[in-house]
Amino acid sequence: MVTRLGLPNLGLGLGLRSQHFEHILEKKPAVDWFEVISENFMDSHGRPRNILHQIAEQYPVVMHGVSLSIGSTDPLNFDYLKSLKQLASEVQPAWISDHLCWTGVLTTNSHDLLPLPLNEDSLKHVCNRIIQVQDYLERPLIIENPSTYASFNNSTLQEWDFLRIMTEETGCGLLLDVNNVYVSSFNNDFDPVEYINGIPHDRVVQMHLAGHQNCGNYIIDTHDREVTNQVWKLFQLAYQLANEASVLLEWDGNIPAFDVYHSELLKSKQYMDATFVGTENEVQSIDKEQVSNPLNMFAMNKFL
Amino acid sequence: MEKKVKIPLKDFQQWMQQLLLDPYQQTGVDPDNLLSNVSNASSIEDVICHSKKLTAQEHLAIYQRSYIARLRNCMSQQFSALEYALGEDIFCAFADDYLASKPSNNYNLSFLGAHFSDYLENNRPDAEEEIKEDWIDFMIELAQFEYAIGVLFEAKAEENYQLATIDTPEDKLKLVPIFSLFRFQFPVRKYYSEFKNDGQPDLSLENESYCVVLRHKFKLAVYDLHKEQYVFLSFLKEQTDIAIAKELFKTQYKENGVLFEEVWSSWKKRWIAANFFRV
Repeated sequence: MVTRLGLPNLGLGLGLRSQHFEHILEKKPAVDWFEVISENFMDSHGRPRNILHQIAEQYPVVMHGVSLSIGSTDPLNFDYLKSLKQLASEVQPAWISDHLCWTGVLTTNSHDLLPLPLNEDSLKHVCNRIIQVQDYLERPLIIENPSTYASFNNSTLQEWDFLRIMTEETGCGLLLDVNNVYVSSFNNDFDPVEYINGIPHDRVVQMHLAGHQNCGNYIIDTHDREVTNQVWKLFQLAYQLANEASVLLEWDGNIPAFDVYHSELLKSKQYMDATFVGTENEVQSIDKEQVSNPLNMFAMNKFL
Repeated sequence: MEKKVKIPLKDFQQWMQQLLLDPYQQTGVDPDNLLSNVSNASSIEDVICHSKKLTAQEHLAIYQRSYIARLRNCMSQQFSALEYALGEDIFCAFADDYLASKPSNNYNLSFLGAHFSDYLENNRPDAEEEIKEDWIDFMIELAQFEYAIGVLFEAKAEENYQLATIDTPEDKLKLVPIFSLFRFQFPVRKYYSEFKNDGQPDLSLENESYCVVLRHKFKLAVYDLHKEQYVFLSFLKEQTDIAIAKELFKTQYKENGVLFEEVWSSWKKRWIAANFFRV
């Protein structure tokens, strides 16, 4: 079914992780689609890329990047874009996404999704670069709201307003990460419901769900556990407002067996129903700080 | 949103990156100087908002901790045997110093450790000593081997070739495309394999070792070699022609031709079975 931006609603998808390669190829599980971290495959010409080709022949695939650095003041990296475009020509993804962030300047890469001050200058800068990238890739870019751990005194726009204007100016789509909205709202004192209400719902092509780690005074977007009830509730609201979108569950740390991962994804079906009540209370555990995800690094040992 | 300051995006990004990469100002760069052209902003609190629960510095600290933890974690994955050999604390100290001296400039994390063995060589703890310590050489070789394995795993190469069989004429034998020879002062391959097979290898004494890493159908395989096998295969890799390699080998070792053919016949049989050769 074709929905917004001429892009299909792919249904319920999972992140493609190397730990699950063999299971997917052997069992051909009934998953609607897979999302791959683009950088894991762009420069790999070994087994991972070969497996991606096999999976892309059997399932719809979306390419999700972590290094486009759309907000950086360094020049766009056209070597990166060339490699991204080449991979896209091979696997024919339904779309290509990345984050509203910067990863480094002066040619350094922090490998983190760093937040931008949200103001007229950064908006103009990001929009110019999105347009250049879309022209080069010859397709709309889908931009994800990042999880943030800081906000800036020179911000003059709320993130949802920034996203709305950005989509209007560039024609790009949105990847609404509901968990990121929750994490950022907790860390930066804004109302996540106001955020969900404020984004341009008609531009939401895809949604992300993930687990996070509550460290007491702040939350880290770890992608290493089940989705919390608060995030499920936000998802329920966002899904109604967006009126359908492809949904994907991210899981990048402490990756469980494929069936456990899949069953967590399938919980989202309940929350697509506006009347589903769900669980109100949740036991919060506070533990040692983990690293935020995603990381574009493969476990290679098993292929030796 | 608090005190309004106007910072050019470029200045802001250089300032924040400096704070992430060098939180203790070991490079001598004062990040506040990067804000010298900005009015109303001369400190972290002027740029980053505090929240109900955290100060501006605490917000920044989440990114600072995350930066080093993420990359240390990647180094640890890339050099897991080396981390075991050095112990976690020493490995982290080296990794942190390496990352500080050589921040990543590639979007692909596979390249993160590209210069780590060079770094270890250039920063040996015994640099000032006349007599060098063996264990440092072993660590450098182990770092070289671990990184090389990752490169060979990802390398671009022809895959749709036909493997040689025992009936393949000798002049048609070619080494498979991903075929890398290694010579070490220490038994690095043995240590590496034992660690990867969940063993707890002891540090190795100096003992020259040779191996080959090859890839077939995207799977890597590692084989030990004798010195003579290493020399022969090096000739073959360089010359690509079996007859020339044989001649060079016989010249180097002043080998009796008949005896060598017997040895070669045995090598060939084993190496064809181990997918060394394509047609």
